[in-house]
Amino acid sequence: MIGALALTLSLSTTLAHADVQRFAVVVGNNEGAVGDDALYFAEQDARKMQGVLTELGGVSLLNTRSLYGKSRTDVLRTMTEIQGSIAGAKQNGDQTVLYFFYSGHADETALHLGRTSITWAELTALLDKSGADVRVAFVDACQSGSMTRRKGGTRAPTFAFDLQERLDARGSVIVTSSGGDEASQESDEIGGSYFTHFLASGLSGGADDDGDSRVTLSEAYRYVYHETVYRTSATRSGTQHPTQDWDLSANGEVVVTELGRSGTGTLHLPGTNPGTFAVFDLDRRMFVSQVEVKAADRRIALRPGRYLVQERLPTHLSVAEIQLAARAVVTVDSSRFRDGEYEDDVAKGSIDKSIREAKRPKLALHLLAGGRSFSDPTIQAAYFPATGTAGLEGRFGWRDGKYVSIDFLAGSGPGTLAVDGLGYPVDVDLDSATFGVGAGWRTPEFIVQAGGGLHLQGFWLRRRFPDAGVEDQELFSVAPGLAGWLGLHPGQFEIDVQLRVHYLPYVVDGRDNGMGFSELLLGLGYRF
Amino acid sequence: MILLFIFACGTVTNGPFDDDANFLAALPDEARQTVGFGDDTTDAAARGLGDRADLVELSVVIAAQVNGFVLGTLGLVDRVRELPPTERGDNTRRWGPYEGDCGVSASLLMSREFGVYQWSVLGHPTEGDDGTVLYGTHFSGETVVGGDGSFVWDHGRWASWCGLDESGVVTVDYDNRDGVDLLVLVEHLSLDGAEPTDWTYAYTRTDTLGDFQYRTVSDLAEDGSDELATVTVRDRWIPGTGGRSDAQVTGGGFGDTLWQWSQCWGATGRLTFQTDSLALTETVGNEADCVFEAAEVDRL
Repeated sequence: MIGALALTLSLSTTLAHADVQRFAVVVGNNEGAVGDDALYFAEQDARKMQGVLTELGGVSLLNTRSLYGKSRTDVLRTMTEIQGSIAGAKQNGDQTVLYFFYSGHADETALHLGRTSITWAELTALLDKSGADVRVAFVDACQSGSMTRRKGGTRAPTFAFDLQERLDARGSVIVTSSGGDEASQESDEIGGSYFTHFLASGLSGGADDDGDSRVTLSEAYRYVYHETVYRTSATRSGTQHPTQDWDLSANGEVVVTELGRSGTGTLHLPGTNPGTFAVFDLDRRMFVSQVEVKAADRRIALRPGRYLVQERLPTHLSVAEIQLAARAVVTVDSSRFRDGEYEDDVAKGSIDKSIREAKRPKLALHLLAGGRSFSDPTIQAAYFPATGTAGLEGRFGWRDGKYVSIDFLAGSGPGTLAVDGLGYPVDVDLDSATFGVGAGWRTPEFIVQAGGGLHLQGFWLRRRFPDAGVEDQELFSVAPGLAGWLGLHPGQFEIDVQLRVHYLPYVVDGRDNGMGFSELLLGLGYRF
Repeated sequence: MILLFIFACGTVTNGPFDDDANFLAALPDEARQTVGFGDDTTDAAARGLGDRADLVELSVVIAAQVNGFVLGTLGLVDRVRELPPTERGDNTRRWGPYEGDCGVSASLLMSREFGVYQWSVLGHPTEGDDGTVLYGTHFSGETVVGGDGSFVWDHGRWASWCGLDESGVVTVDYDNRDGVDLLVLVEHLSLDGAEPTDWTYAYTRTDTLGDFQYRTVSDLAEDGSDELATVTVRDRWIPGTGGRSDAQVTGGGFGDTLWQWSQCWGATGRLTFQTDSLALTETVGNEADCVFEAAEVDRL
């Protein structure tokens, strides 16, 4: 079955008569290392490319591994799995192609997968070890600006791929998003990185220069190079030049996508209506293609769904809404377009929504356990013995370092009271529960991280005297204070030591009093 | 703004336990109902040398006897200080019953009204009716413990429960309002079948003055006579400075003759002056150097 699903691949020369299975590992990660500004669209770009490869590129879903926001360990594990799958296909006599796509942060030495990394040397070794006959890697590691943001925190030299060391005789192609020490960029306007946007557009048909309904790797590269250079030439971060490293022993072309596949429909953009058209997928809320139509007709293969075809004119938008069915060919001529205002731009609204969603804080949940003690030793000894407590904290962190937190702690256990004039300790059972809210700032994300701010805690305590025949007693208080934490944050995990200091108003014998109390807590957390 | 969030309410109180402490403060204790003579009149080196004044030596022994007897009667009272009450009421407390000597369990019952605490130790013998062996009354002063009161030990009843041939009643009046003031009356005390005797002790102590007086019988003449002398001794001292002991002895080898014997001593109890009315002892020192120049034996 896998062979049947993958059979649609066409390699025009040496691979032309073989059964070919295509595999894909698609990796996207908005998070980077310390100092990297988080990206808005890297993971969305990866999803977009996963769609292109599976819908048009002949990669079955069974042969696709998608990793969004995952770590080094996940990538290593996935590459090992895909290596096994490739070996199985080759045992059946099939030839194999592996696509590796990465969108996220990087520097001159490594991909940044959140707070973990994979060096370029490790990546090339993983690709070599995959065993695939042909290995194609698209690496979109970019930086961002205002309307366009630079991907990656620092400008880095061009990725230093050495083909002779890296590739075996069968063949390998690597396409990167930028060259030299250029920064690569995301764009709010197109809702993604320039490179991936034009790569996906090209593979969907925009790059089909010869009109044969097949997009080869060469066509795709020419298209993505031209469009990326053109669209980034006026950006603040500077022109971005994609690069390629090509080492294939085959003599022909590698066809990456075929238009008109059974599961797709075709948008036909006639040459009689020239212009630059952006195609927005209304169902997935993303731009899927951008096509420049000159004299010749252009065809774009898309999965069935609702699409918005837009031409951005100086004063207004020209918009056509298309319903595309499988195997259908819809001609988008001038009669389908209507004028629209920029303020009503559905695509822009969706992109803004994506940006807002990307700006939402990340949640980290912590299990907390520790102890509580009071600043007045006499009051502590006579009324509120130190107790243990445990609970859960949710901490929402924004990209700019702000955080807010809510927490609930509870504890129960025996203690003793030292009452003046009594020669024995009074046994007491203490129950406590607190609900806290906090807000503050944290240091940039790194393996060692610290933070602190204000903390307000609702405090409930009950004293029970089961052996003394004395009625239960309760205290409720609202205690303002400060909280600070220091911890290790390897990957998604967080281990914090947290210290909270509060002023506790309290009532004893009907009289209002106040004192400080502190909580020292160990937190084990996971960041989602 | 943040002050708006400061808020507290609740029912936390240590009132019941503070009140336990009040009840316990109304009971006699070792620090206030024992004689502190000897602690501040001698030092260890002097004791070892054996050169303390004879009357100081005698009073130290007598004080130890008195303390032993009083503390013996207060055994259960001391025990409840380490235990929470078994039962609490607004103005009552009960401890026990606890197992005691001779298989007799005992309870301590206390009640309070208008600052007056009444208490009793109720014995529960294995055979026979329950009975009170120790009881007292305490009147609160400015504080509960700074009051006065009395307690009575019925030694005969306790001895009967234990099958002992002993009798006697011990009454202790105390006043804690200004230092410590004790009057201990031992009436018809018979131990191990001996002839009943009556003893009296008076003890006063403040920060600046100590006064201990007692009357007992002793073979003071050491002549082997069956008739013991009646000895009345009064020790007065200024803590850290020195003191004076005056004794009057009649009976025994002295017949009807009143023998008056005085000794003065320094801060460590060493003899500094001595004289007696019958010149039985060597006269030592100058009476003008004594802390108290005049003899007094008239408190009891």
